[in-house]
Amino acid sequence: MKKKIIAALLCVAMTLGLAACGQSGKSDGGGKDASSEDEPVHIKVALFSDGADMTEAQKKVFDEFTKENPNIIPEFQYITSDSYGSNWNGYLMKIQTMIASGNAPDVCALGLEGVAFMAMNDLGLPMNDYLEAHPEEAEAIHMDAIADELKDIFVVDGNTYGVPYEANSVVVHIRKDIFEEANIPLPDADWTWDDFKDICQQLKDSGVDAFPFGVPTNFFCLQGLLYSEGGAPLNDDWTEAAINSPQCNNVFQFLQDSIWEYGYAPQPSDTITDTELIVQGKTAMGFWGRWVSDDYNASDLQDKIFVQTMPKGEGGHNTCAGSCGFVVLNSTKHPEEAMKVALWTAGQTYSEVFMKTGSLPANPTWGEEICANDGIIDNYEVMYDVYNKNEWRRSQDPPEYADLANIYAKYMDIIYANQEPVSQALDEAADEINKCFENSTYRDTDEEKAVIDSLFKN
Amino acid sequence: MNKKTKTKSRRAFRENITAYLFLSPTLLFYTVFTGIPLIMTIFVLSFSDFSLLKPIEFIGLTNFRQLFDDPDFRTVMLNTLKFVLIIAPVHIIGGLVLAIAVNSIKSRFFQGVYRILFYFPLVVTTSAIVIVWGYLYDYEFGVFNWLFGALGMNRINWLGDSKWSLLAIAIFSAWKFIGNAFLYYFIGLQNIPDTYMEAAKVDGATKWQSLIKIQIPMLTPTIFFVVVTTLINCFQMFDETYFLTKGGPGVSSQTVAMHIYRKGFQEYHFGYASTLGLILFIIVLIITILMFKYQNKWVTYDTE
Amino acid sequence: MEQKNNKRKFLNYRKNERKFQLILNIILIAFGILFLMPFFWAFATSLRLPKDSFDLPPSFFPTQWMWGNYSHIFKSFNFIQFFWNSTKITFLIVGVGTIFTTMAAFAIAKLNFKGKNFIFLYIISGLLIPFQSYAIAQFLVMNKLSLIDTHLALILPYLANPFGVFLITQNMKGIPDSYIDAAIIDGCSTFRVYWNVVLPMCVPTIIVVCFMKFIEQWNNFFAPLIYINSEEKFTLTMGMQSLKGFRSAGSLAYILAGVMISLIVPTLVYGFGQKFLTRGISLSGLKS
Repeated sequence: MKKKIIAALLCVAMTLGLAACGQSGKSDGGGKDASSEDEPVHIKVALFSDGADMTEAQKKVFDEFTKENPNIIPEFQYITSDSYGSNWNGYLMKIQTMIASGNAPDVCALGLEGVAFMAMNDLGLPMNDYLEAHPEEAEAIHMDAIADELKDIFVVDGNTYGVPYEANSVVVHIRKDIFEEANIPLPDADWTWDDFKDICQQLKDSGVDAFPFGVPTNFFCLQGLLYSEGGAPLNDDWTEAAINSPQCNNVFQFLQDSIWEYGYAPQPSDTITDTELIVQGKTAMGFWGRWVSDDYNASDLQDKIFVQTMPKGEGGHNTCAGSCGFVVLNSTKHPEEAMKVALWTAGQTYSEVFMKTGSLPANPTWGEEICANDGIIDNYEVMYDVYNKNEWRRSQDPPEYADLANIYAKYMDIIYANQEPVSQALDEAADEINKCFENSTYRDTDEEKAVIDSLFKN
Repeated sequence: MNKKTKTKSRRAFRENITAYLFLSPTLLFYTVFTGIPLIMTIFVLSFSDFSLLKPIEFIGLTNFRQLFDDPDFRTVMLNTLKFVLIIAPVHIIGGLVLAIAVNSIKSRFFQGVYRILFYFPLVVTTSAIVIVWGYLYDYEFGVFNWLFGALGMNRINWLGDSKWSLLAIAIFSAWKFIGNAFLYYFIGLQNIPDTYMEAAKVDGATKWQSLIKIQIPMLTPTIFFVVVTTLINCFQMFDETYFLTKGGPGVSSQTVAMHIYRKGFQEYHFGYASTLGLILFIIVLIITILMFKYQNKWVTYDTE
Repeated sequence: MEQKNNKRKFLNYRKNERKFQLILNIILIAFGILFLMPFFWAFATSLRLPKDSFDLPPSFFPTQWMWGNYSHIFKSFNFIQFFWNSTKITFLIVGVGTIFTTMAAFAIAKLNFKGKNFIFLYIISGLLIPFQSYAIAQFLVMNKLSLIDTHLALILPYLANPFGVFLITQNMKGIPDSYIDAAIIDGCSTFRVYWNVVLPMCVPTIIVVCFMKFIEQWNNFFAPLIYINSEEKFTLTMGMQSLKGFRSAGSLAYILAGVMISLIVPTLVYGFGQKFLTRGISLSGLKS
């Protein structure tokens, strides 16, 4: 009897407690759902940023949008990732948890890495119908001017999930002042990897207090080097690893030797990033897209940085590039409004406010002008030349990219730390990648394989 | 007579209710957020495949088979073991030595100063102070290597070489957390009645003798407590490696706790991560049981 | 003769003792300074010109006084928000959690009820379970309760404090039952006994439990890492990690200024709590 009463009491206490918890949790996000016809709709826009590095103008970019559409109020939601390097796993994980807990944003910024993952998990809402129904909006953002391939990255199985607003191509960044000090002329567009190595040696011999270059720690950037040598992490169908090919071996061997044999580059560390090194003038060259111009700008490096296309290797001047876009989430309660917001971000106002410094706008219509005005990066034209001359390949991101990102990070680290010979490390990496594909839950049926097949590859 | 037992039982009944009312908040939160999750892990999740987007699907022992397939599993287990073997003794013995030293200081003032000094690193925010240590350890621009260079020694690749990264993490861990063991020991020493030590002095015992014969034996319960908690803490080590090396180079300093985080929260393999959690739990359980089983061999309780 | 000998022995002893104390003090002071080195370096470097922050040799004492670094980082970094979040969460856990803890400890130490041993073991076993082993499952529970990305997710699990229950129970067991009987004869309810008689006698231990909980929760990184998504809900531990975002943009000097600022609250709490610390714990009853 006593026991029963106690048990009952405990049960009551528990359910009461739980109900209270549940309610308080819900009331956090639920307050805004009550919008009726005449009340403005709030659209939550998730950004991969902690907001700390954003200017006031950027935080208020949507004021312009609300001026045009008074019934829609987009609001930023800053979400950061803790993850290795700066890939998108952590960010997407957080988005997932928000979806699962019913507190998801309506629109989220998404890099090309996450597109396949998002589509195959049915997290995104296709825009095809909306685009068809609103041709005027596509026109307003000059969608035609964006390179088709950049747009195709966001098409999975015939469904369009976003329109890219930014597109970064990896190029070589050069500290002009260090080159001047060492009395070395800036390289031409048709330079080769041999020229690159010569320059490294000259820089080293010149006695300037800086390493010739910093090895890329971001795999997206590293792929640029692989592509220029004719290698790639995966085969052309993205069904098998190709990271242990002779071409990839060459690239990784050069990077490892640059650190441990030639003294061209410092070993990268978690504490001091490769960007920090070039900003502090401790390295003379590095491989990035335009996104680092934010950091250059914050450190007053105006007109000290010159960029040049990837040196020519077995794969020509090919480099790695890719686009980002805003995707409307499946879970949104206001799909129409969310689509409108997502499309608007690919337009001129958003680009001008948001990419004054920072990333490369996907649309050259205003992108060229934005780059010309900021005056931080000299010779910025080559970043668009990459698209004009079609000297790029996208980064290879199947839906298993989160696993791959960790595998890449692990073996880059091992190679840079000289823990294993390059060929052994790459063979192991290839094994792990293949095993990951074998165990993958995204390749079980023919249908799923067809979706992976449909992903844009170049 | 009958009435008496009745009131007695009623009183006992009321006391039961009162007791459980007093216990209920702790029991509630403990059960919901620790008890139930642990049971779920042991009996359901470890044998399932799921993620936030996928419902729980029972897959038997597949996750356990995957342990052998996971190229990092062995490294990660070995790393954790190494950390336990390096860090636990430093805390357990180093803390004891420090505590005995500080306890031997006669001046109250200096005793207080040392107590504050050695405990202070424990208080400061780990994620903040670790930024400082990252720079101290840096290969090219760090303070330690600058010191080594100034002393004519070779620079050490503290965080970028798997030969040194474990040591670097262990040094940081000792600096940051030794205050914990130190404080427990210190309190234990302070609680030893003065009469014992006085008596030893009168008997002509040297400092060393009274340390070995009186202080340490009387401290064994505290030592036991510190050993148990330190071992458990070492097995679930996450922050230090996460902040300093991210588990690198490669996975050479990754711990089980980090691996669980990576598999579960970065790669979305919730089922497999639960299995790893179960393994961690079983290891800690076995060690704790062994410790408690053999404690009466060396722990002397002051039964008064 | 014998007396003289004894006196010499005593003097010798005093002399040796003084020497011993001196050497021990020197060693401990050296050790203490070594312990503080990282703080000295961080403080000195935080006051350097940003562009000089990488320059070697490092300094352990400020050579420049760029207080501007502090105002810069305070202006451009959301410290107030992070501080507020951390403070709110930590103090709620410490405040509410400790009341719950003393209640549970009181029941176990001073009340008779069925299943006492089991309940005590059940709670104490929480001391021995690594959080990561059930983190995924707890995540699912939080998700079911819609607590992800709320501060409640960081508070509720820690309201139960096995270590605190353990310590305070030991302490309360030491209080003679005669006090309690006397209070009951005076007509006190059980709650009054708990609140007016037993609690005041355990204050030193309770302060220790509060302090330990404070340190543990102020430093909690894993839970916010998995539960908190939005930047405005970050705790200081997470916020400090985004400080690193400043490094490419600014420099080490700014970051270290941020680090130094982050040390203020725990240092204050420590300054207040430390003198109670050694008074409160008696671990002699660890047998259980």
